[in-house]
Amino acid sequence: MKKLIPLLLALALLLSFGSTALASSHEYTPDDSAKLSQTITTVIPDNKLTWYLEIPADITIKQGGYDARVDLTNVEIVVDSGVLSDKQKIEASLTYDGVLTDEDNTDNKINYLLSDKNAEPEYEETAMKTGTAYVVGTKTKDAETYNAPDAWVTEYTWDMAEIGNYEGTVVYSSKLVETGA
Amino acid sequence: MKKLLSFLLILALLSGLSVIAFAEGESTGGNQAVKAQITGAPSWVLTIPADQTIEFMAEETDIVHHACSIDDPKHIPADCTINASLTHTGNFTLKTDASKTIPFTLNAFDEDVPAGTPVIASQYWGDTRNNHCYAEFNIVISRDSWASAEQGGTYTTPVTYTSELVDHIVDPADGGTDRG
Repeated sequence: MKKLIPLLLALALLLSFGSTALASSHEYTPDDSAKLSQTITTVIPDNKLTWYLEIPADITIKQGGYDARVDLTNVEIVVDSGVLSDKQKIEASLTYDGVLTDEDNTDNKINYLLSDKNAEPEYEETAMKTGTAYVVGTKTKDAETYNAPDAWVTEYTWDMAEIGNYEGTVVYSSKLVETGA
Repeated sequence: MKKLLSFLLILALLSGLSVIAFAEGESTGGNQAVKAQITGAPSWVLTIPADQTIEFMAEETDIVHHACSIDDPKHIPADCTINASLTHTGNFTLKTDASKTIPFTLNAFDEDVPAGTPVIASQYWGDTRNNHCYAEFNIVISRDSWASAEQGGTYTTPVTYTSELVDHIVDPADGGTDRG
């Protein structure tokens, strides 16, 4: 039994080395032009679906009334590899908190809203609710649709704002949805 | 007996000194020693990096990791350099169908190395007995290249290494590399 344990340990050691790719070596002399080969391997999964989301560039909202409206277009879902099946779609969505904060004084804030471009911007009832994900783009096997909103700021908020540079963030995300259709 | 030995030793020492003095004063020629040392042929060992796997969709992967080395140099003349270089094909090939490929570029020292063009990966300088392996060899596969793969499966590409003895010290300006 005592002899068996070292044997098993040696075997385990050999197996652990065997699972690691080893570098190779060759002794050269000046008239030797041997070539050594390193193999680089990559495995591509069958129909591995990958995609990325192109989102709008940073924007600046112009101060004042309804002129503050800014189009947030240019969201795009781009499939890198693979193909969507008939029962799959990719959805892009955005969320926002509706607050612009003064860079120099975080106590100063401006409220803003996003609205569907087809809605009347001056009505808060039709604006997108803050903190809620809204689908702004959908890509299926054969089609893609986008519904980027407008950003706008109520006249009331402008009037109350202190002078300063205000910033806020709109967050985009995307996911694969199995439709089952 | 001891006294006799001491006397003979002193006598021998004195006679030796007189011979030297005579040689310095009268000789017009002499013997020049010519020595040769047989050192054997130059040789060295090149070790290349292990085979490597690149993750799917990885855009930049270092394939050398300081692991290309020139070891055990023997009888390397001081005015010589050992260069170890690598070349690449520019394409991964599907194991089961060589017509299916994924293109890549090899980036060394922030510049693309064309396929089939050797680039120095490691050097040994005979004058300084210094050994240096360059590390910045990245296989770059763009998102478009990954996306161009027509078929899933295992793709491979060989990176080929060789080395040679160069009978001068490589000027970094000529080789485009730096000893640093």
